This record gives sequence, structure tokens and C-alpha cells, in this order.
Amino acid sequence: MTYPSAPYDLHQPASVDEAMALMTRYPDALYLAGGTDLVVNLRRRIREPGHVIALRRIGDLRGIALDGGHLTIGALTTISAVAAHPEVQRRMPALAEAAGLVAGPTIRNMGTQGGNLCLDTRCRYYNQSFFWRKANDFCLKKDGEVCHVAPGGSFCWAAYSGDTAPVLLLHDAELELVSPQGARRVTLAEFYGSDGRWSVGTEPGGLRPGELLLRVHVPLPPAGAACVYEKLRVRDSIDYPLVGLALRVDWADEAARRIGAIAMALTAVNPRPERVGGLEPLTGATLDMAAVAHLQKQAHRTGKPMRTTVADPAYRRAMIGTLVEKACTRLARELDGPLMEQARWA
Amino acid sequence: MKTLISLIINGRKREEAVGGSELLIELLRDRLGLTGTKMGCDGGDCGACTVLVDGEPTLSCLTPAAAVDGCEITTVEGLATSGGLHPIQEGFHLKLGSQCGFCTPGMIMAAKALLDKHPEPSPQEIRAGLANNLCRCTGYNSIIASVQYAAEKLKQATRARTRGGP
Repeated sequence: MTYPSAPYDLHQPASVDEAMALMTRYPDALYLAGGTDLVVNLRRRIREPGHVIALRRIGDLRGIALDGGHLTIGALTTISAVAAHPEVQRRMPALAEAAGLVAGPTIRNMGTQGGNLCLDTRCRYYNQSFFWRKANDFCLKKDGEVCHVAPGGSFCWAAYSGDTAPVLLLHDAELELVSPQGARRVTLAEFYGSDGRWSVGTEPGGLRPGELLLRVHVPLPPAGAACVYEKLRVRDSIDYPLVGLALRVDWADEAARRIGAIAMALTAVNPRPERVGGLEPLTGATLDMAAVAHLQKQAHRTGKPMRTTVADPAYRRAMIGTLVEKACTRLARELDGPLMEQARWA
Repeated sequence: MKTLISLIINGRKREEAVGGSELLIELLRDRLGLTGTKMGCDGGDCGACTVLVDGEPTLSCLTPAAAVDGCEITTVEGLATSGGLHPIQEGFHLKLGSQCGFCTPGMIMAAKALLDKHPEPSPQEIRAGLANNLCRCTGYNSIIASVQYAAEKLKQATRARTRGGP
């Protein structure tokens, strides 16, 4: 059984200026890029705009450019183009890896980098048909009063589930935004809010109504920086992450595995992609079992998996620690030196 | 608001007036009678609605019809010629890649996109290429065998053509 969306008019501007003119005329409109998130939500009547502005004809928002020390990714660049781009693979392999792990090949062909960052938060009580949600008395995020994940609270726990955001967070990405009121630039870190109701639209740095993400700017990491992305999911294709973890190390001494700087970010376990704090004590330390234990402790403090997916939160919580181990092992293996000696995972 | 679009579907040029919220799969199935393409999950999970848009595999249940203006669409109906089944269809028939058949049109179109780009895929590449398509019957092994059969058959056909043979 299929459910039609509420009827809307589709507009297909050929330039950003045209898109802004349309948004001025129809302030309730939504932007549509690849459609793999929004069209589903339209069909489920989670979003019910009268007008939709499809962006795919705006050619200059597509493509990847390397200028100076920066990588610029157009918001309409497909996820598969990001994953396959030789410069992304060479200069920022973790981004190529995370992009390559998004959903399956057909979705990666349709979905875009901008759409991946602007992904609506997800929850098993929210990403359902109108019929299902109505039978369940709706939920806090849409049309209802109660959060079925944490019934007593007034906070929405729907999880942000994009794969590329944690890697881009660790590379200090900046976003170029434009609205009919003007253009501005925000950092990816200030783009997301902590409430799952609409985490990209609640903070001062988040999307304002009518605002459009144009490009992502990422400073290239220096030589001696290494980053990996680990993703837990049920099927190894199509599905969203149950936990996603990016770990970046800027080596002070690669051969000795001495850390110059270390950063970690989680996805799919909080309403926003979350940078893990409290890693300063590891500066200058060696990436060994003690360091792994510290990273696990801090990751467990940050990640708060709730009953937003069909997988048990306790399992996802335990797996945060496992992904930390896997990421550390990979970073150690990527060196020429011997694997960590205390390697109970070797 | 209706938009007039022109597109090529299975080699035939058409003009259609489509509504803003009309999806490509609704145009194909409900208005053009091309019911080979299946609506499965209605949410981008299953791949049953896969068609080729300008040669790229695309989920027709997530694509607004108005957005494919000027594009070339290939559905499962566009594969067989008067000479008989397409090698991929023949593979699914002979190697039992199809049981209930609901996923088959999407599988076949995803396989077509894969073989157009990688004529000699390894079993692992076939798995990766079809990773967006769910099958609840076969357990996938017979589907991989079907695509391998098709790859071999297409290779022979290419070889015969380059030799100027039959």
C-alpha cells in the first residue's frame, strides 16, 4: 500500500538567484536535492509544504574543487562522486570512506553531500507512515505531545544519522549558506542543535527558514594526519548507521605512535553529530591500550544511544567502545611500525 | 500545477503533462501502463523501483516525474528485443534468480547498470553493485549466478560482434 504525499507544486530553478526568488515568493517551500530523505518524508506526510524547489538544475552547485589548501564540495555533488573523487581519496580518505559507506550504490548516486549534512533526524517512532504514526498517537517531533523514547521528557531524542558529518567535523569544515536575506558562513560544529526535533534548524548557526546550503569548504589536513571512519549497521548496505565513529590523529611521531593531536566524533547516537571532548590528556601520549581506554571512556560519556532504532541501545552503547578499538587498530596498522603490542584484538 | 515534459522512455519519445507531486514511478505504472517497475517499500529501502535515468540506476519512487524532463528512461520493459530475452533476463530465468519475482525488475535494472560499467564483475562486485536491492526469497546466490551468466553471455556477444561473426 502506498500513501500519496500532500499535493505540492514543484519548481526547478536553474540558478541560485532563481531559487532565492522562488523562496521569497513561497516562504513555506522546501528545497529538494537528491530526494532520498525528503521525498520519503513527503510521502509519509512528515513534511507537507505547498511548494518544493528542486535544485538539481543548478549546475554550479555540483562538483569538487581543490584550491590552495581547501577542498570545496558543491552541495549538489552526489555522495558517489565524493566517494570516487581521486583528490578526496588521496587527500581526505576518511571522507571518501564515509561517503562510500552511505546506504547503497543507487542511493549514493541520487543523494548529495549537502543533503547528507542536512539530513533530518531519525527515530523509529518518527520515520513511519502517517497511518502508523496516527495509530501510535504521533510523537513529540511531529504532531504529538509525547516522546515514546523518553516518555517523561520534553526533549526529542531522534538521532542524526549522516555518515559524512563526523569526518567533516574533525576536519573543521565550514558551510556556505544563502537565503533571500543574504549569505553567511558557519562552521559545521555550530550548524547542529542538540534537540532532535530539527537539529539543523535550532541553533544560531543552523539553517534558518528559506536558507540553502551552497558549498562545503574543508581545509586539507597536513601531512602526518590520519583519519578513519567506522560504521556499525545490520546489513552492511542500505541501512543507516547504528553507531558511526570518526577518529583523527595528527601524529607527533608516526613511527613511535606519539600523538600530536587527537579528535573523535560520533554519529547516530545523539540528535547531532557530536565531537567527543576531554581528549586533551592524550596530546603527547602514545596510542596504546591506555589511550584506547581513555578514548572509550570519553566516547561512552558523549554517545547516548536511545530506543530510536530497532537495535537495543545497550548493544549500540557497547559497540561504541568496540568501534573505538577498531578505529585505533586501523590507525596503528596504517603505520609501517608494528601493531600495538597489547593487541587483544590483533 | 502541471508541467509539460518530454522524455524518451525505452527508446520512444513522449510528451507528458505531470503534476508537481507526481513521481516517476506513478507516471510509469499508472499512466503509461509500464507495470514491470514495482513499488515496494515506498521509502528508498528495497530497490524494486529501480530504473535507468540516462544510464544511471535511479529509484523511481523517490524521483519527481517533472525532474526527468529531457532524460532517457529505461525500464525492464525496454530490455527484451523482438529477438527474445535480454541476456540478463535469460540469466535470471535459467539460473533461477527469480522466485516470487517482485524484486526481479529492480535487480535486472541494477544489474544492467552494473554490467554497462563493469562488463566482467567479480562476485564481490556484483554483491556491491546490487547492494541497494532487497530479495526476500532467493538468498541472493542464484541472483549472483544469474548476473555472472549474463556477463559471460554479453561478453560472447561482444566478441562475436567485433569478429564480425553472427
